[in-house]
Amino acid sequence: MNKFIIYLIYFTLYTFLLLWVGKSGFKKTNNIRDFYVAGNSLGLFKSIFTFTATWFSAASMQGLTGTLFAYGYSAILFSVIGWFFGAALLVLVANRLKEYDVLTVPEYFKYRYDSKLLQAMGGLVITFSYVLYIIIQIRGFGIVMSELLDIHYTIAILLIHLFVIYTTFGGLFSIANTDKLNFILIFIGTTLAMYMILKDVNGIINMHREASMIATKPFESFPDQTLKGGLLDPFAKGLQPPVIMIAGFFGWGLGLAANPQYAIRIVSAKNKKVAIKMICFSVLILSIIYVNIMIIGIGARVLVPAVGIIDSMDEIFPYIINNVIYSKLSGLILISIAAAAISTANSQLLILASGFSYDIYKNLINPKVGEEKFLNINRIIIFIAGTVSLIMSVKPPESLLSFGADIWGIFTVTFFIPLYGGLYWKKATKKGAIYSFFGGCITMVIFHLMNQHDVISLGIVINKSIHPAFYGFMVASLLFYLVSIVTYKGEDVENEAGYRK
Amino acid sequence: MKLDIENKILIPFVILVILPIIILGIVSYLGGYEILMDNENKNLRIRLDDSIEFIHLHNRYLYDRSINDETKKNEVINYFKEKNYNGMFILENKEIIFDTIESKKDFSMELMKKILDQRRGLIKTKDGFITFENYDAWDWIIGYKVVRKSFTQDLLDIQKYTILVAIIFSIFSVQATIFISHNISKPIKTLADNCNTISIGNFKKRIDINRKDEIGILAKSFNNMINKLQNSTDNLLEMKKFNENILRNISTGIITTNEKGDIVSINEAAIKILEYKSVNQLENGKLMNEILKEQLKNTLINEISINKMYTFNGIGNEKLYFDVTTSLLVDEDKNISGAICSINDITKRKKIESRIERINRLTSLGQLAAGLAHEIRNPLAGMKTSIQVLKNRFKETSTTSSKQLFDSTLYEIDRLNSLISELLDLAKPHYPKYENTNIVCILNKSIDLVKKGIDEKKINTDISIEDEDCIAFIDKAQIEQVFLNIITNSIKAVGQHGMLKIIISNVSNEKGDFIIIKFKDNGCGIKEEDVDKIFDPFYTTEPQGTGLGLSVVHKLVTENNGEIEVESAVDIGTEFIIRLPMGRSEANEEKGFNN
Repeated sequence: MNKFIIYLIYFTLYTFLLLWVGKSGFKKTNNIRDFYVAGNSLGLFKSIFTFTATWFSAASMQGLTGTLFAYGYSAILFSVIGWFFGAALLVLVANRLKEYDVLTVPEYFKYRYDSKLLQAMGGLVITFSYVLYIIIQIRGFGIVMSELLDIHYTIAILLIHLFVIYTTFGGLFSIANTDKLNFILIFIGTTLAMYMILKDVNGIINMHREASMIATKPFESFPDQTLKGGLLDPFAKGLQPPVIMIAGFFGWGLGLAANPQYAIRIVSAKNKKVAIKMICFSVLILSIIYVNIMIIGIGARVLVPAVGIIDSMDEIFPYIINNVIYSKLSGLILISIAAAAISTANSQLLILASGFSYDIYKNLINPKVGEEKFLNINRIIIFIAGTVSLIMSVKPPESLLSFGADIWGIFTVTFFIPLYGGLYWKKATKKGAIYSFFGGCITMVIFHLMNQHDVISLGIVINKSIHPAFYGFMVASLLFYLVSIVTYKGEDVENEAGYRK
Repeated sequence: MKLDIENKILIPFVILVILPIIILGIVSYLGGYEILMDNENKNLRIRLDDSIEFIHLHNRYLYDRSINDETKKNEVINYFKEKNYNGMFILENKEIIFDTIESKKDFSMELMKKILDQRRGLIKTKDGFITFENYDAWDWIIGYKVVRKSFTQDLLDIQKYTILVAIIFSIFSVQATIFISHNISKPIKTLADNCNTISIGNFKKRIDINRKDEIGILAKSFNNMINKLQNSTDNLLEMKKFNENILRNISTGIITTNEKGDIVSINEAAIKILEYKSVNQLENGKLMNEILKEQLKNTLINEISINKMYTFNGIGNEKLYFDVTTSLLVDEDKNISGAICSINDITKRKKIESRIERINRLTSLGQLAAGLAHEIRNPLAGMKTSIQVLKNRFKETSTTSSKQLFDSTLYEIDRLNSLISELLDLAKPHYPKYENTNIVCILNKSIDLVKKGIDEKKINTDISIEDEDCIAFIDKAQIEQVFLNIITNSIKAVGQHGMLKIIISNVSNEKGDFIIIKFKDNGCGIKEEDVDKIFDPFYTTEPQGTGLGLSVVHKLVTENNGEIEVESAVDIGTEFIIRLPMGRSEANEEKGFNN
């Protein structure tokens, strides 16, 4: 049968399945609590599905595969290690955050620090960061759809509205339901791709043997040539210096640990026990999927040491599936790549809508807005934000993985310290949190701009390999500690009111 | 599978939305197919014409050079082999001498026969079509076969964006339909959920739908309806509670049954009556509930109201009287839905009736006796005077025995006079002089007066004062007489070492505040059949008695606004219970005198 027809069948089946599965979420959503956190009712299985599907984004699926293809195993140090470190920290969040009856992470700031300003600032950071981060998902989706349906990237990205807007409109119930489908697809897709590649490279040992011999450019426009043995080297024989670990840790790791898209899944879990189990089991499942991804990335490089006709690392995975190891199941794998992007994008759109509607609009402008009207405002925000991200995706950043680390870094410098500090340090004060939030954010922006424009000012020589989030995090921590110590007024005072064990 | 309202809207609309898009897609695909086929046919026709033209030119050119036909044919075939026109074939004498057909399985003998018969034209086969024409000069048939599959790929390439657009629009339409059906059905579901909540009794629930369309109007009307319903229910509940309170507090026992006679409701008074153990036994041995069931059954069977009075044995010799009325429960449409039974404890009424009857009897007897006494007294006075005259006249001549006769006659006349005086005293209206009097003092005084009799029989007299307030508003002398008569009766009734217990207590009831004085002895008692008669004048069991003592007691107690009851059992003893009005304040006293 015609390849296009096969792909079209996969596309159509997936689409209608997603429509059907997502539909039930609409029925269950009766109020804003249902919409944002599924009425705090998600059991263990649903929580694991939605956590893993949200976690496994285009950055993991395409970004990581492409980076593995280009740099080899060093990509893991830059990304997965940091992510898993973040996941371990999330257990600490789960342990305390469930004590608060909140719908968003910024709302936690309001209760903990008695600060509407901090909630609104949190909402603003979420809105800004997620509009940018969704670009990663849209780009990933666009790349795979253009391969799948043989259409131009710009037209392909338009299709994301069909999937993401619909599922997000149904709230977290709808997203959690579709995440179940998306997770299954991701798991099957990566496993299938791993199996097919492993078969073509004659086993894992042979794959590594051949990988150690590769010394070509991964693709034409790539700046560096892989050094012999570099694919298996933890630092790619110097292409990925050890200092890059700091970027992975401060950008991805701490950013993930403070990321509202994971924290909110702790809130939506029906109890603390489920939330902690969700994180533990999800990391276990994700480890299996990341092993698949590693084999796919390295194996693909062994199959095609130098790809001729691609422009970025993110195109590697779909290209290999569609052109190098094509079979009748390729459509399923391509759909699974799209599923990874969709499942993350819809979760992020929902968080974005809550950041703007709940933490800014309802918090500051219209606290008495009616339930039905407020739900519709959220849906309008989802549509507008989705469209803004879509327009920005026409000219996307070059690498999904490094762009993602930059955005996650914003959460490291703004959310991490007030969140963890507030949960575990009784003496944390409102002023400490506000200074930390602003100080961290401003520092990161300054260092980011310096990196981009090669500015070395104030006599400080900046190491460009170090992620700007590192400096932001340091400033945020220091301000949080010092200001809290200064402003803390002793036992039983107002700033302890929000502290709960 | 039961479809909810959302799916009932959604499914038909999805079908209605998708079907035209699919039909349009199919029509577009088929249209494209037809056009492609037509083009292919035209192209083949042109190629066929070109091929025949080539053969013809070749034949004529080589004709001029006098080359034989076989060589010419071979050169032509070689030319076509070089060109390798896909699907071309040449037939000569029913044989294929050249072909580039890939799929020959449908090139059957039958098809060949058709081609040979027609010699030119177009034949449609299972997998495509064949266009052919004959070249008579060489007796050749040249044709081209087109397999449909060969241009399906092209068709898909041309049509793929049409299909994609159709699918995308289908998805978009389905999503739009899901949103619309959700938005239409959601308020309806909210309404249904609210109705459900209300149906299980939660009237506080209101529908929160702020819309201006028909659903908004419906929600508003529904909320109004619930408000009214709640008001009505509250009123009904209040009314029900009120009725229940009436039934609970009414002294009449009410029992209702269904048409089969099974009890549907019973009020507290009825339960109390049925639970009162001593009531259960009717005089003929039947139980109260048996009697009620029987009467209710009769009412239901005969469809009539029945009223009966039952007398039950109470504690000791006490009689309890119940008035039981059963009637049908008939609704507005005259349908019988059951029966209702009312049970009235009429014991008190009966006692009052009995007392009134006794008073009437005493009054009549008193009047009769007074009349008789008056008539007897005058002749008796004459008789006495005559006897005294005769006694004086025969004073000296009469013997001792005559003298004794005169004396005994005079004694008897005096006794008769005394009896007549008592009778007249009984009948004569007295005007008591009420005053606040300490009952205990009068009682002690009375006991002192009969102390001799008490001492003679060594009667154990015990006075028990249960309440401190012993001041009664009475005529002191009359009540002293009452106590004296009762105590005297008791002394007569008890034997040696008998017992007389006097208990003084207070009681308050709807009639007012009373002092109760109970005289309880362990004497011979009164027979059951005589109890009602003891207050009658001249009724006595004593040979020497006048039978007026207790009549006087009754009269005096009644005149002092009191009541007297007696309970007695043979060989066990008798108890007189006297209730006298309690002492009054000065203001009341004055009022009492005025009255």
